[in-house]
Amino acid sequence: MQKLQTKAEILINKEIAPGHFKMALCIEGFAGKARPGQFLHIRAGAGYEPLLRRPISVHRISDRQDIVELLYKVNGKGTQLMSRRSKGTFLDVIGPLGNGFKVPKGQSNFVLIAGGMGVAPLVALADRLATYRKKAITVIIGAKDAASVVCVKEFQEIGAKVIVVTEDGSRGDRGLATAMLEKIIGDFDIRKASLRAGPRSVSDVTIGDYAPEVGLYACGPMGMLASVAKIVKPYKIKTQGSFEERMGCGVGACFGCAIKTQRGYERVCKEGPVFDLADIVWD
Amino acid sequence: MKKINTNNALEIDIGGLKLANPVMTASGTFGYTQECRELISVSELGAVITKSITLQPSPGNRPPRLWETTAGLLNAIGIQNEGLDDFVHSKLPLLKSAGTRIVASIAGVCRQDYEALAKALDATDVDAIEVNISCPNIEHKSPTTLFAQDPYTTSCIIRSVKKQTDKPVIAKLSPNVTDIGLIARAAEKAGADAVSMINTLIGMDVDIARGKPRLGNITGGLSGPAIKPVALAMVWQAYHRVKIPIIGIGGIMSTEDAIAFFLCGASAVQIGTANFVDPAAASNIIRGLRLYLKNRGMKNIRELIGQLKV
Ligand SMILES: Cc1cc2nc3c(=O)[nH]c(=O)nc-3n(C[C@H](O)[C@H](O)[C@H](O)COP(=O)(O)OP(=O)(O)OC[C@H]3O[C@@H](n4cnc5c(N)ncnc54)[C@H](O)[C@@H]3O)c2cc1C
Ligand SMILES: Cc1cc2nc3c(=O)[nH]c(=O)nc-3n(C[C@H](O)[C@H](O)[C@H](O)COP(=O)(O)O)c2cc1C
Ligand code: FES
Repeated sequence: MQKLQTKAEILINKEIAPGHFKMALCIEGFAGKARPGQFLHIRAGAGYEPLLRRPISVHRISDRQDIVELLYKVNGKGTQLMSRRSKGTFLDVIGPLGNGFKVPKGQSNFVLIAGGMGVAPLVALADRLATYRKKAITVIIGAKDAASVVCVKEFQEIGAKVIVVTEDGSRGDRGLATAMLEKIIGDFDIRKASLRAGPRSVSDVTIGDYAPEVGLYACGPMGMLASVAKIVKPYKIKTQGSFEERMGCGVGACFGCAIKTQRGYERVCKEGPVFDLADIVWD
Repeated sequence: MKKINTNNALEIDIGGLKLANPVMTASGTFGYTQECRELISVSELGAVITKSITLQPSPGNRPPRLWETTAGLLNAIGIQNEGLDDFVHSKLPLLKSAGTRIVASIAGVCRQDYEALAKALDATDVDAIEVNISCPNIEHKSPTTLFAQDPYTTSCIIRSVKKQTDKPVIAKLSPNVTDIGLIARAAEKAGADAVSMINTLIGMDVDIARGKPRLGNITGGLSGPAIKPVALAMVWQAYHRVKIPIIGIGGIMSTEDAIAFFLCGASAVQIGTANFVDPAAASNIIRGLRLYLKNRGMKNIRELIGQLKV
């Protein structure tokens, strides 16, 4: 039995921004098990209301300790119940589940684009990428307003360049994260020549002609992922996106979390949640 | 194959399907076991009922396919599966290695589909066939929405299936009927070795903000604790109308829930939605039943069946 269904002790559960909670869990035997992009399936309460578990991404993971951090936003009944659980109590969790992000060989320039709570799994990814030599990480965080911008400090501490975009302009540029992505890709194209000098920071990198060296990762609402797919298409940049669907079992048994791909309906919980954006059929 | 302990108080024979214990996992909620093998010990289960198999691969319905309701779950999966050939050649060998009884659930859009499926499965080593004539999420070539809504179509399909196989045949019935006893009788007369009930109740939910249905397929099937009272009543009603064993399904989450079904006349139970909430639900229920019988000095689960005091 590789996966765990177990009781996880809550070490920390605190509100870090309005409606946004950070939770640290201690799960015995968890060290080294999870990869960025995977998730835990959590039973929010003990009764049947809500009935199903809730999928929450691993936000920060340690290879050495049995501790995993989650970042979640109170959305409805389940996440509300989670937010009220106090330190020292236990949560019933299953995980780690799903397939995480892949980092193909030869990549050294990474662009991460997050919409809303999409930042949650991308921090784990950035943590992992930061261990690579000669890398450059750029993170675009898109949020509704200044109050919902989270994780800027985490990304900066990892050594990433962070660009914040808010819909109401209350922090960073006004607009959508995807518009910023378009701008950056254009930027890369102009500076393509400098790549030969060896990539060091994001401004030295080209995307257009050197696509295989660029890793683009996206996490956010469906509309945002669709728009990212459209933007990157002409550049042939392989882009991985983390998707959300409503889940029943979380382990691939019920076919409830289907998403349409070029290969037919696949399961977000099993084949995903991370998919190559080029594989998704957008309706 | 695991040897069945004859001293086992939980051992039961369901129309020729001999089980080490009367707790199975319900069709569509347990995959083909490999998904759950990493979490629980599948060999403990009385049987696994596979996701319904169709003749040809079936893509399933458009998402969203699930919506949670008060203590319940609406689903409109639409029997996504890779079809009969894939089942026989790639799924079945794996299933058989799980160390428990394997019941193949079959579904089709016409009688000929069921016939072909039963014929093909008869040649395999599945232990029994459950005939799903009650899935609310696929369209049938039938005057009623579901085959199981009409005693005549129920009996036609069951009779055809029986002609194709010597394996125990279980008719899976729908709660979306006026008289479940009538349908259960029709299945029995047509030769069914057992009936299982209930499949999901047709239901829907609405997103009032967008003025749209919650499911891609508009309507779906309701399961989970919310349907337990309906399922209990139907098992009780059918118990007085048929002699063949009844397998109770619907909202069973705990040992107590399972006992209620046995008291109402079920000879075995299937666990569905509970697997999503707690993959250990079926194992816990098996353990709970064993303890319950022991504490009451009962030698066999049969002593409990239909013992409701009315
Ligand atoms: C793989 C994956 C990883 C996720 N990671 C995070 C994360 O790190 N942080 C975070 O804040 N949120 C994350 N989500 C979204 C989170 O699961 C939902 O916000 C949460 O389930 C809502 O539950 P609720 O009871 O609060 O809301 P309700 O609206 O009451 O939920 C009702 C039902 O809808 C389901 N549901 C509702 N929204 C979603 C959704 N967006 N995705 C899947 N199921 C949903 C619930 O599971 C439940 O079945 C993730 C979703 C997926 C699929
Ligand atoms: C996601 C899901 C998929 C299902 N798929 C099937 C199926 O393929 N065939 C079938 O006969 N029943 C199917 N069912 C019905 C269950 O087997 C069971 O009859 C029903 O869910 C009621 O039991 P429960 O309340 O314990 O879940 C499905 C149920 C769910 C929730
Ligand atoms: S949630 Fe059941 S298959 Fe993905």
